[in-house]
This record gives sequence, C-alpha cells and structure tokens, in this order.
Amino acid sequence: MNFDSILLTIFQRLHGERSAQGVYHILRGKRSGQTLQDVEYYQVKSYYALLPRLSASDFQQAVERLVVDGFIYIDELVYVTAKGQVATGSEMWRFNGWDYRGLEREFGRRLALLVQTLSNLRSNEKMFMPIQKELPTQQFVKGFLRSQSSPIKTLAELVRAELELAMTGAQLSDMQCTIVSGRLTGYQFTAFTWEQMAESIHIPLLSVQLYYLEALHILLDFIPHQQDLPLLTQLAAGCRVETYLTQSAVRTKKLFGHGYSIEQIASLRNLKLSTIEDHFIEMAANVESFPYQQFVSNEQIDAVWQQIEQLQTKRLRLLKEQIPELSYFQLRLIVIIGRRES
Amino acid sequence: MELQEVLERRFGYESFRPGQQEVITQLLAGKDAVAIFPTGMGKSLCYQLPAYMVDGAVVIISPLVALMEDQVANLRKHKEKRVVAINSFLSRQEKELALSTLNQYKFIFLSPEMMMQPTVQQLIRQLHIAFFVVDEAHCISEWGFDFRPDYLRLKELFAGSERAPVLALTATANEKVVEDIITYLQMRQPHIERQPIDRPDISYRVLHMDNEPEKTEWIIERLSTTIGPGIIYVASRKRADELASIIRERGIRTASYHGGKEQDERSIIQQQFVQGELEWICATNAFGMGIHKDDIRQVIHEHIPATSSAYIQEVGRAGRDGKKAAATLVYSDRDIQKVKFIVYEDIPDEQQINYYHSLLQAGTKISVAAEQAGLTEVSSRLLDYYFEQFNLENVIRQIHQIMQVKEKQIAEMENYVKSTSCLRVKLVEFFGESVLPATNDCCSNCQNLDDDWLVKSASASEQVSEPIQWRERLQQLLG
Repeated sequence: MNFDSILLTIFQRLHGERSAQGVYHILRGKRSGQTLQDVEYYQVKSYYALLPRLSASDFQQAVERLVVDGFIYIDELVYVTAKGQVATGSEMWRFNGWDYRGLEREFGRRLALLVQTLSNLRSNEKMFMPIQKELPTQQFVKGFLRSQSSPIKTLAELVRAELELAMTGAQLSDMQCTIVSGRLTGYQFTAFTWEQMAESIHIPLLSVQLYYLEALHILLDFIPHQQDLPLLTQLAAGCRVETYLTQSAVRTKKLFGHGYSIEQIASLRNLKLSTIEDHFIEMAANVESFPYQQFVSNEQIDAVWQQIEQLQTKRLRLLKEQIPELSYFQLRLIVIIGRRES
Repeated sequence: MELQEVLERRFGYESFRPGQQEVITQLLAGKDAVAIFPTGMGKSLCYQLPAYMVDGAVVIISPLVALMEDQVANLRKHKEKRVVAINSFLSRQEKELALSTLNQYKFIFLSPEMMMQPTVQQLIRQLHIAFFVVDEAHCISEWGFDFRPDYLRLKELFAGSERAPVLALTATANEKVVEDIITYLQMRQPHIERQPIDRPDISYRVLHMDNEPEKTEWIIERLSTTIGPGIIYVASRKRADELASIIRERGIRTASYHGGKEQDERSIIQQQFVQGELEWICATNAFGMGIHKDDIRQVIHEHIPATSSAYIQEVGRAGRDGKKAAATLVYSDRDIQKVKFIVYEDIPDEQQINYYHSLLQAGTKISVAAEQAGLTEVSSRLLDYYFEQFNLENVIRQIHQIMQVKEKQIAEMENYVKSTSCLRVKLVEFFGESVLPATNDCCSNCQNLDDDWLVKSASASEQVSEPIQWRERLQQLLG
C-alpha cells in the first residue's frame, strides 16, 4: 500500500467528475456539504478524514507525480488513465475513515501511554517522562488505571493478552502487528520513529503510517464486538464518531424539527440559504428518517435517476441541463437519497 | 527543616550549585531577587526548593508553553502533585476546573496572557502567595533577544505595596536588560545573583567553509571520527530532515527534530536521545528545551544563530555533567545574509507600518489588515501592542529601535565568526563579562585544542536496530 494507490483509488471512483481539490477535502475530512455529499455519492466514505493533517503542498506534489508518471491527467477534473488503472492494484483495504475521522489516533495515544505506564510500573519504575503530552490523554489513562482493581503486574499481562488477541482476531497482517507493537514505548524500550520503522521493514515512510492507520481502524472496528476484550473496549471509548452531523447542522435540524422552513432557518440563524441547504443535504445523508418527501416527489426521483443511468454521471450541471425545472438543491437531495427500489 | 535537608530529601542532591543558596536565602527573607544563571546551571531549584519551606502557593509566570509543560512534568516526576499549568492550550472546561480549584496547588504556572485576565488576577489575589516567579525575565526587555510585548503588561501587576516577593529568572541578561527587569517588575532593591556565563569545560571552534556541500562533507567526516551524543543545529526544517538522512546513510543513529513533526514523534525522538538509542539529532532551534541529558559531548552549528544569547544557550546544552564538551560553528559567507533575511522578515518597515495603521484607522479587521500589509504574525502582534500606547510616529521610532537591536545582535555573531582572537573571551564579552583565555582546550583561535578525548574508537561500529518479532516485543513491554 502506498499513498499513490490510495489517491488513484479515490480518483478512479470520482473519475472525470471532481477536481483534485475535491479529493484533498475528502482526505482532510472537510465538513462541508459538498465534501460530505461527495463521499456519499462516490462511495469513498472509508477514506474520509483519513489524513486530517495532510498539507496542501504534500498533496499537490503527490498529484503532480501521478501526472508525470502518466497515471492520471487533469483537464480541470481528474481522469485516471489505463496505465493508472493498472497501477492502482487490487489490494483490499480496510480503512474506516468515516467512523473515526482522526479519533483513532487518540486510541493510539491512549494505548501508547497505557503500555508505557504499565511497563514502567511493573518494573518498579515510578518516574518516567510520559510519551504523550496531551492532557486529555493523560487524564483518560489515569482514570482508566484508577478504575482497575487488578495488581499492576496482572493488569499489564491482561493488556498484553488482549492486545495479542485483538491483533490476531482482527486479522492484522504480520507487518501491521510489527508496526503497532513498534510504536509502543516501555521501560527501557523506546518506540521506533516512522523513519526507523520504514528503514527496517523496507517500505516507504508514508506507507508505514498508512498501514498503522489502517491497523487502528481494523482494531477499533473489531474490539467493541468482542466480549473477551473488556480492557481494550474501555480504552476505545469515545473514539468512534458519535454524531455524524456538523454542530451547525445539528442546530438547523433542531429548528427544522420545530417546523421552520429552510428560508426561515436561514434568516433566523443569519446564515446564507446555501449553507442551510448544505445542512439538509448532510441530514439526508446521515439521518435515517429524513423526510425528503417534503422536498422532492417520487416521480422527480425516478426521473433524475433515469438521467443518471443514461448519462452515466452524477454531475449536477449536466443533470440540471436535462431537468431544468428542478433546483440544484433538489438534484443534490435526489442524488444523495439514491435510487428508489421499484 | 534546613535548606540542606530539603535539598537532599526532596531533590536528591548533596550540595548546592553556585549561587543557588544565596538566591534562596534572600527570597526566604522576603526580598526580591534576580537570578542570572547560565542554561542548565540549576535555575529552577531557586524557586522549587524554597516553596517547600514556606506556606502558600508559588505563582510562576512563564512565556513559553513548552517550557511550562516541561517544568510541570519535571515537578510531577519528583512526586509533586500540587502543580497546575494554565495557558491558552487548555480547553474552557479544563481552565475553569483549574481555576476553581486553584487553592489546592503549591505551584501555579501561568502564561502572561492568562495572568493579565481580570478574573485570573482576582483569583490569584485571594490566594495566600509565598512568592512570584517570572521565568525567562529577559523577555520583558526590548533589549533582550527574545522581547515579548505580552510581558510588558506585567508592569502593573507588581505595583502594590503589600505584594509577595518576586524572583526574576533568566539565562542571559546584560546590565541594560537587568535594569529593565528591575524597573518593569517594580522590584525593590533586589538581590542580584549573577553566575559567570563562561563554561570552562566547553571548547569553541569556528570553521569557515565555502558552501553547503563542503559543510555536509565536514559534518559526515566529523561524525564518523568523533564521539556523540551531539546536536547539530541547522537553519531550517527541510535541512534538518535532509542532513539527518544523509548521516543515517552512513550508519550513524541520527534523527531530525523540528516543530513540523507530530508531537508523538518528537516525544519518541527525545526519549531515544536521552536513553542513548540515538547518537545525533539534527534540529532547528525548536530542540533543546526540556531535554534533560547531561552527557551531550558536542554541539555543532551549521548556520549562524541570530543572537549570541541564542548561541550560548544552545551551546550550553553540552557537557552538563561537568566533563569536556566541544562547540563548533561551521559557516559560509552566505549565512550572514540568510540569518538577516530570517530576522528582518519579522520586522515591519516604515511603509508597512503606515499602511497597516491606515487600514486599522479605516476600520479594517486586524487579521485582514495584517495580511494586506504583508505582516508576519510576530510583527502584527508587536505593532498591535505599540499602537495601544503610542502614536504612529513613536511606533515607527520603537520599531526602528528594535531593528537596531537586531542588527547589533547579528553584527555580534558576525564579529564572532570572523574573529581572530580568543572565541571564549569574545563570547562572554557580549554579555558584559570578562574571562581569560583557557590555558588549554580553549578555542580554535587560541590553537590549543586537544581533541584526543573526542576521537571515536574504531571498534564502536554502529548498527540500526531491527524491530524484534512483535509478540516478543509485547512480552518484553508488558510481561
């Protein structure tokens, strides 16, 4: 796995319909109506917010490299070439960016601090510099330790056993097990830096980080369903996104619940109409019982989806040309609701 | 309890370092004090120890979050739980929690911004305070190398007649800076404890090179033949990464360190270095604070620092165990231009100031005005502070003055690297001190260096450690 193949995978799904910038927003997890809509349309939720700290220049460089290598070409929108399709490969990834959105890293931090603490305490070392500086992480681990009744040595062994169980049970690759364990610090053992890890397992640095990230997603997907992993379940608490709506959308949803119209909400909240419409799109994508019938009829949905099949595109501008009587908002809504089962 | 007893029981030291006992005694007698101690010579103990000899809390004002966190971590490491740090990195909830339980703490660390908030001040006033500490006190002076306008606001704070004693701490301050500290902090006939800035165990070298490739080559040769642990200070993040990777290719355990790396990674690198798993660090000036490592044998500068204070602080991280250490500065002629560019970028010129002023007058938002006038974050903060108290003309005058200070500081460093006389003498002169050249192992200009102790034995071959099998690793960590 490498960054390029992830980019190519996403570009392929968005083939000829989005600019490179759109993909950047997806990877960074931008919480805008457009991006949230995109991940839904093109089924790339698993890559959403995968790299919240990705810099614009790193992304730009990677894209330029793909162009130079002849894997993609850009004509405002991004197209994957035949060569690019081959290069994408067929590796099956198990990312779940949508459900964690960066919070998986908090799980990684907790695990690192917990293991460091247990490792030092079981060796009777009570003074050590915590490898994690974030106060919330420190407080969480402190609270975690306080809630345990087993003696330290037993607890350390229990955590080790659960980790082993989780790593094998969730079917992490051998390399991922090496990476996950290599990022742990303990008594007289310091974790490896990404560079050191990359050198010793002979893969690019960014690939190491991506494998680690995927491993965290896999573990977090696995842990809560296992009864024999009580400690890790507790450690993973709160690392999954609880509300899929932006805070602003939550407020809009409340007003909508009180019976206000889109226009009324916009003027009440002193926001642009388009912003409120974005919130409705977000709700349509994330709220199961969203009453879309208030905005579009079944006939309209069928008509639009007929066009989508015919034109083989979900680009709004092209759809609007075909069905000018529908607003952009209605079109977006229909695309996000999906085809009606007949 | 006696001082000596607390020193041994609490801190595990057998004796005081020079100057510590004087400062502590004065402070305990209720006097203000200024302590000027070179980096790593035990400044912090001057407030940590007396805290245990009197009732009441110690309020420490510290300008850098990193520094604050390091001090907090250190106290906690020494089993002191009654420590709290309040800075802008806390969430609102955390801050409220900390403030509502303020009377439970022995050590209260505050950033200058926090200290200036009326609610915080009111809470502090209700506490029983043993004494105040102003860390990095040179930041208060425009003549200091690290001037922070935030700090000037502290002026009002210590005005009252019934206040607790104030201890000002700094690593570097010439007479002018000390004067500013005393005036601004409204100190009353403070005891001034100045420890000589010269570190006899450190020997100095300046080497002139034609260009960067030549520097790289020299560094590789140096690291292959002489011992670490050591730090190489470079001018940019990019260069730190690049140089570290070149050195690593030679099988020398090296990592780069700079503010662009994620926190996790920085912690790992620090810890590996402290534990001896890494031999060299290629770093920007972000590296150093909070590194408690006594056996650093070499500090190499591959660029020219902007001030002699920065240089002496960075060099001072070597040889804290009292054994020999080597400082080397390799420079090429272009480095002077480079450092000027970096420093002057943060100082607005007259045109920018005028434009910024006119934008603000027209009601433009601060952030927008700063961007339109092409100001860096540092320079807009500086201007905002000055515009609060001066008119346009005087702001320009002030900025002009700062510019002159910076020019003078860079000129000092230029003077240092081009000097043909004793480097040790030159360096301490910048701080208004004098010293005689050391009779041996002094500096490259004295031509009495003896580098035998630096030579790496041929058998000390290094290898990159392989990660072990993962089950085994978990077992070693957790049993």
